[in-house]
Amino acid sequence: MEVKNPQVAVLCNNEVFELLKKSQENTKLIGGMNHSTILYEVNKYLEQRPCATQNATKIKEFLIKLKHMPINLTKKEKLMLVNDPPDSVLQLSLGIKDFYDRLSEPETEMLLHATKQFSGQFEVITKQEQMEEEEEN
Amino acid sequence: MFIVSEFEEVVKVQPNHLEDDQMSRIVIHLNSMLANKVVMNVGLCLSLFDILEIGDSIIYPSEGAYFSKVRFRFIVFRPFVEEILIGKVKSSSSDGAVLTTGFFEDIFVPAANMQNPSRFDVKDKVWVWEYDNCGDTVELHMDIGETVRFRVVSEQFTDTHPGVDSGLLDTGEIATSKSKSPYSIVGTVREPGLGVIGWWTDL
Repeated sequence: MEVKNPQVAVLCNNEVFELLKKSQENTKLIGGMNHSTILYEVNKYLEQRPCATQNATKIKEFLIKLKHMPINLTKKEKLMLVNDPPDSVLQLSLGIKDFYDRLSEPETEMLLHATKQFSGQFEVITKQEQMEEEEEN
Repeated sequence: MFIVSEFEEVVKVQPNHLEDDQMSRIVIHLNSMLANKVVMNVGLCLSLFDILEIGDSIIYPSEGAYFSKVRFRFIVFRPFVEEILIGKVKSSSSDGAVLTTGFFEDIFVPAANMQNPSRFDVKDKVWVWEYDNCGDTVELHMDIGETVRFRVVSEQFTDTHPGVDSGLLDTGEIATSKSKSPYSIVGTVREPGLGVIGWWTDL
């Protein structure tokens, strides 16, 4: 066997999650594959990650939003934001190099708002607020 | 943490499978050959991504099988250095802690990369972070099975091909009976925000 190109592309967790699901179905169809153990183990790991609730359009929207921000992020930083959307400034600072020098406070706030919205935490909050408002009315 | 890599391999299809669909034979062959295996300097292979090209099939003299050159891509587990990952504590010793993702178990956090100041509790066999909370020392345990966020510091590929290590040892050299893993990752939790997830969510 020959390695032609060790790294053609990088996949985000959600893409792998979807691909492996298809591959598991394929295994059932064709049969005779002894790679179901690894598929099961990776699937089990990814099920517990935020990627299980993401989908391609959501990720696309999030990435477009990041692109329109005045913050320059590297590909790897964006990948980490997608794979593990941070919910606090501390977590945000882990994934981004020289975080405190590169980002001003309003920019941090904006980025955190976007990641929270992306991971769905925000929807929960706004929904709760809506419910409360309705109750008040 | 996942990448796509391109490979080329000559796939042999045995005569008893001549009736079968060539594509599915190739898929089965590649998946059983590479899935859950480590390729040197590439990473841990998981599953076939796609097939780019299937060359002409060749039958060699005195052989019933046919061979075809296949160019294909595979999904590979290969986190980059500096990446933040999530894993579970598998075991702890005074040298450090071993983390696992469930499918990859060769992640090691050495004692020097633990939160500062940390100590190893010999009795309970866990690492304890002696967090200084305004003068009070709070003991935060890193129990086995706990979910941990860590940063990848370095990676190492070791050739475990039979024969590499079996050569006679020089006199005075101590044989290490430890079975080496072909691909291992060194991680760190020595940064604010890293370590057991619960340490940081309660703040």
